[in-house]
Formats: sequence, C-alpha cells, structure tokens
Amino acid sequence: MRIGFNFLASGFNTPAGQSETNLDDFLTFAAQYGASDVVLQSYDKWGAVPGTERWEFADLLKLRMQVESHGLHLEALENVPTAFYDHIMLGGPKRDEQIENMIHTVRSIARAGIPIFGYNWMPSNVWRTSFHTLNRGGSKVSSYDHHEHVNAPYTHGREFTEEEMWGNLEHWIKIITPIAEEEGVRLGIHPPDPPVKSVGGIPRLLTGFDEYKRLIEIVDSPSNAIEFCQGTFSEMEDAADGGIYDMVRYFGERNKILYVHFRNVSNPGEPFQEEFINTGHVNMYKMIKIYQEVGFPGVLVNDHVPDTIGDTQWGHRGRAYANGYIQALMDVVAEEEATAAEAESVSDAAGAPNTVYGPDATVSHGIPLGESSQQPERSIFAPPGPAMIETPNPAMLPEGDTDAPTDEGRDRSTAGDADSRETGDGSA
Amino acid sequence: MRIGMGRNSASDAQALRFMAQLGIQDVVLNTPPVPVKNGKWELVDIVALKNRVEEFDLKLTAIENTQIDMRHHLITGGPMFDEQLENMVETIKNIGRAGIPMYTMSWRYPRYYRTGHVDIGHGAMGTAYDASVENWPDVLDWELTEERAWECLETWVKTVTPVAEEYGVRIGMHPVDPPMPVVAGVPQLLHNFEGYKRLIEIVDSPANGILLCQGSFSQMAGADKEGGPSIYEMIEYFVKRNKVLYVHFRNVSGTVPKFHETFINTGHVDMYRAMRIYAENGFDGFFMDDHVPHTVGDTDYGHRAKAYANGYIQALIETVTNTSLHGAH
Repeated sequence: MRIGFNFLASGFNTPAGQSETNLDDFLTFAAQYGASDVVLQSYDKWGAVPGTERWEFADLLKLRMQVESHGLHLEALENVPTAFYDHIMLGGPKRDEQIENMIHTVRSIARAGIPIFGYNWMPSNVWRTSFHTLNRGGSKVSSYDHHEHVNAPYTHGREFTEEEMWGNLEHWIKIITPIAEEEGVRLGIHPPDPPVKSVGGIPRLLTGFDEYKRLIEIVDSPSNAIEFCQGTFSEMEDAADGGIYDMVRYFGERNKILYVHFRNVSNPGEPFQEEFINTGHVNMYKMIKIYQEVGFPGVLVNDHVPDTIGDTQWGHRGRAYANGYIQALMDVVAEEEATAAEAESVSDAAGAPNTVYGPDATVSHGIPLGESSQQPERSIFAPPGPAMIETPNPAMLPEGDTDAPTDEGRDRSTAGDADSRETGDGSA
Repeated sequence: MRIGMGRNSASDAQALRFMAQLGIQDVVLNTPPVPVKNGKWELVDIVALKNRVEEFDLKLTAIENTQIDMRHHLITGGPMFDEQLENMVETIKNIGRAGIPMYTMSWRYPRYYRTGHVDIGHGAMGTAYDASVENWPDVLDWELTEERAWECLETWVKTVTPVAEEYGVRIGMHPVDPPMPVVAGVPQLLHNFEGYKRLIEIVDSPANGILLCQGSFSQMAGADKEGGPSIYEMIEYFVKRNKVLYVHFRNVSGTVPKFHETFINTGHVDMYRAMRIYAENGFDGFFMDDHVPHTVGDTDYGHRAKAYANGYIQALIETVTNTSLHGAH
C-alpha cells in the first residue's frame, strides 16, 4: 500500500481564473508530505493536458516526466473532459467518433507509461445540494439531499432509461477492455456521486454493490476494474450495516480496486454530508486493515476535505490533516503485519529448525520482512540523507515570549531576526 | 487520551477556530502576551484569556510558560531570586483561581535553541542542533554552579508545590532543549533521565509533574538506544508514576550532540510504539503537535504541517484506544 495526493493537473482555478497553485508547487507539497504517488485529475472542462477531443502521447509523457522530476510516481490519470465521451455514455450521434478518439487517448496514456486510467460514467458530473453546509467549528462541507433534486430539469433533453445506459456502458467496456489489456493499462470507473438511481433524467447506473458486480462481469479482465472512491461507496445505501466493509473486501479480494479515494461521509444513503476523515460513519482503521488483509497493492489518496478557516480552495491544510491521518494508519498496519510475521517466523523456526527467513523473505503481500520491521526510518516516507545548510541566524527561540515587550534581555543577544518568526507552542 | 493543540496567543481568532474545526479537546497557550504587572500575572488578565478561548467552545487546559524575564533569576540564582519566587507563586495562585488546571514551564536559561536547518526531503526544512558548531556566548553576570542551580530548583519546587496543590494546579516541567548539560555557560539540570528522576523526588505530589516534550526527551543522549535509556523506557517510567501532564508529540533524528527535527513519522522514534506505551500504562492526558518542519507555501506558524502532525496523532490515539475521539462510531 502506498500513499498519494490527487489534484487537478491544470492547477486549481479560483473564481478570478488565476491558478491558485501551479502543478510544480502541488507536486512539491505532495513530495514533502510523504507521498510516493500522485493521481492527476481532469474534471468536466479542465483537462490534464491540451486537447478538445483526445490526448496525445507527447503531452502525457511530458506530464509524467514533470511528476517524476519531483521524485514522485504518476500512478493514474483521473477523468478526461466530459465532452470527450458524453456521446459514448448517452449513445449520441458522435458515439463512434468519440470511441475512436478515446481509444487513441487510452493508448496514449498507456504508452506514456501511466499505469491506470480512472474515469466515471456521469454525463452530468457530481451533484451537490450545498457546498457550504456548516460542520464542526464552522467548517464547511458539501451535502446532498435528493428531495431538492427530484424535479431537476433534464440535463440532456430527455429521460434516459437504465437499459439504454447499461447498453452504452457494455458496448464501451467490450471495445476498450481488450485494447487496454493489450496496451498494459488498467481502467476503472468511479461511482456516481451521489449514488442515487437517477437525477436530471440520467440514470446513474453504478449505485450499489450489485451494479458494480455487474460491471466487472461484463468482461473479466484486470483492465475492467474500479476507481474506488470510498467516499462515494460510503454514501451508498449498500454501505449500511457494515456493507461498506463487505464491498471493500469483495472487490479487494478480486483485485478490482485500482486506487482509493480514502475519505469519509456522515451516513449511508441520502441526505448525507461529507465529513472529516475521522468523523464519518466509516471506521477508517477497520477499513485500512481490510485493504491490508486483501493485499491491496495500490495507492490511497485523501481526496476532498472539509473547508477549514484560512485554508486554500484546494484545502492544503485539510488535506495535510487527512494525509497525516492516513499515514499513521498505514504505519500502524505495516508495523502490525511485521510483528505478526516476526511472531510467525519465530514459531516456525521453533517447530521446523530448517525454516529460514532471510532478508529477502516476504510476507503475504510482498513486503520484505527486513524492510518493514526496520527502525527508525520505517515509514512510507524515507527522506534523503540530511545535509546541513548554513543559516545566518542560528539561535532560534520558539517560545511565544520572543514577542513580549519586556523581553529585551540578554537571552536574545544572538537571536537575529528570530522574533520575526511566528511561533507558538514550541518547546521551551 | 485526548487531542490538544497550542498557540502563543488567544488573540488569533483564526487559530482558535481552526482548533475547533479539527476537534481539539485541550488548548495550550504558550507564553501568551499577558501583561506583567509588578512582576506577576493578575487574575483578571488570566480570566480574560480563558474566556477568550471558551468563546470558541474550546477548553484552556494549560498555560505553558510565562515571560522569561519573570523567572530567569529564579532559574539561575540571580539577585532577584526571592522577588521572582514570590511573584511566580502569586502567578500560580492566579492561574488556579482562574480555573486553569495546568501550568507548564521550562527550567532553562538562556533560551538558545538550534544551530541551523536541515533539508529533510524535497526541500522541507527541519531545525537542527550541532554542538560542534555551536558557539553561544556566556550569558550570566554571576557565578552559577550545578549545586546552586539544583538548590534554586529545589527551593522552587518545595515552595510552589503545596501552593499549586491548594489552588488546584498541576505544574509540569519541560526539558531543556537542546538537552545539553551546559548551555552558554549555564548548568542545565533537566537534560536527562537522572535529572528528571531527581526532580520528581523533590516533592512527591501530583502537582510536581512533567510536560513530556517527547521531542526533547528523544534528543537526550542515549534516547535512541535500548537501555540508553531509550525514549520508550523514559515514557514508561514517568507515565507509570502518573507524572506526565501532557505530551509534545514530535519526532527527531539523532540525539545530542547532534540532531535535527523531522516529520512526525520520519525520525528515530516509532510513534506507534510510543503511543502504545502511554495507553498501556494508563495515561489520561492529551497529546499535541509541536513545532514542525517548514514546507512549501506554509505559514511561518506551520498551519499545514501542524494539521498533518495533528491528523497523524489523532489516528494513533484512535487506533491504540480503539475508540473515536469524536464519538463518530
């Protein structure tokens, strides 16, 4: 299991149209906060790379190189602009043309060395009733109440039937899966968020456990899989009564989970609201143990988070918090597994003296024993060796009283500009 | 076990709101700018601090340090020793009267701290100490032997502990950081396990306790070795004796004479193992993130990095206790 961040490859657009944070800064942030991987997103009209109908190999390769220049792995691209494939989803007149272009795009992604393409089957994207629902301490979260949307006007001119939508999906899966297999790229579909049966005239299809089983049975292939947005799965009615844990186990055991949006929500079914990672209905520790038990080999990303005070639109602080929470869980399960493996090796050695667990021995999920039981730098994040950097003002006083008006004392005589540093609960 | 967070002032509404949003259960104010009146803090000013924190539905659990000029002669046996002793005792009374259950403090002077920074990965910067490049000048105008320094500390503990007990305040002592035996010519007492054992034996009372800055303890010589004594042995020793008020839960790489700060999960301490030791020995206090590495785009205060560390700590508490801090499930 590895940890990553996801963000819009084009940077995050503020209302003024200015990029709030450019991609390099995002990547630096991700690397500093312990990520090994990133997932770069597109959404609706914002594509990861240029292109109005399809994406080209050269642009994607460049993108991957940019990620790798930060010491990160580009694990997946998530979504293409909706206009790349809306006729495929809806059986529109440009369906065949879009299929040709999507095949081109999938081949380009694969040839650029990006192992996963995650997408969705939502012609009308994500729906929310509010993005400003008040949560703990005045934080704001998004929420959905279907009663507010039952009479929503048709988004695409008419009421579509489930049968035709399934037909469109099956047509696509049967065409693209062998091509993806041939190219060595894995494709997975994100659940419709919210996972309600239908809204705005469009059936959402992948709204529950059975629907996802049906999807993966269309073609039995590693390239027909799931972009496991755990948040959206947690919103499903099927998530109730422990169902969320059953779904992860079921699809995890079948190696259908490509990567995970590891976030939490208030309750199964609607209305619901998003939550902090540890205030929703899902026990995230229990969840990560299931991923570990089924040998999930992929990446967890923190995904969207509540809006906290003073944070950026993307949510650097909120995501740092969620990422810290996830890293702790990952450190815990890695250590538990290493301990269990050591205990096993001891008991094996006692019973069968010829059993040798050398440094290359692995536990069930391919984690080298020697590595996972190592201290101190045991974490997912192993920083490069430190290098001393000269600083002109060496003595720093982290206590708050560096700002105190009475503090003209000798203890600051070499403090330099240390008092310009905004500090707080530092060590005394 | 609970989750806390600190700030150096109660005037920053955004900081307090942020704590409320993250579900912080215990707030610590570190050297808040309370006016020093005749060498002490007055009740009315401390009550104002407490009220301010409570406006945000938060609880002010601890004051961490008063201004150093209120107590540097107390620590170093200077000419104003008696006056500062009396004023600090009065200040403790006022903290108790205000209903704040903990006062934590450092027993160190001067407050020299680090000698530089280290790149701890992808340009994130951690503070660093290296005794071989440190050249801090001597600071005292009077002579201070180690014996005299212990005499000062013992006088303080013996004087203040019964008062703190009476006023319902627990006092916790923060280690010297860097944990060196002498800093700028001044003998430092609380730089190792022995010093701390001696401290808590001066008076056997819940009011004579420890602010377990796990970062500073992890920097002590031998803290990274079994029997060193290791950080794990020290935590167990003090938690078992109910001496730990709360914990600065941060990590470092190395020990004196050379170490640097790291992210919470990239130092020499296994934080999960440490957290289990607190839980297994019945710790009922709280953990807070402490100072943090500087990362790209972050504030000087380190909002992002502190949020990261806090998330890490909340996960460990919830995992080890197998309960939700926030009653979520």
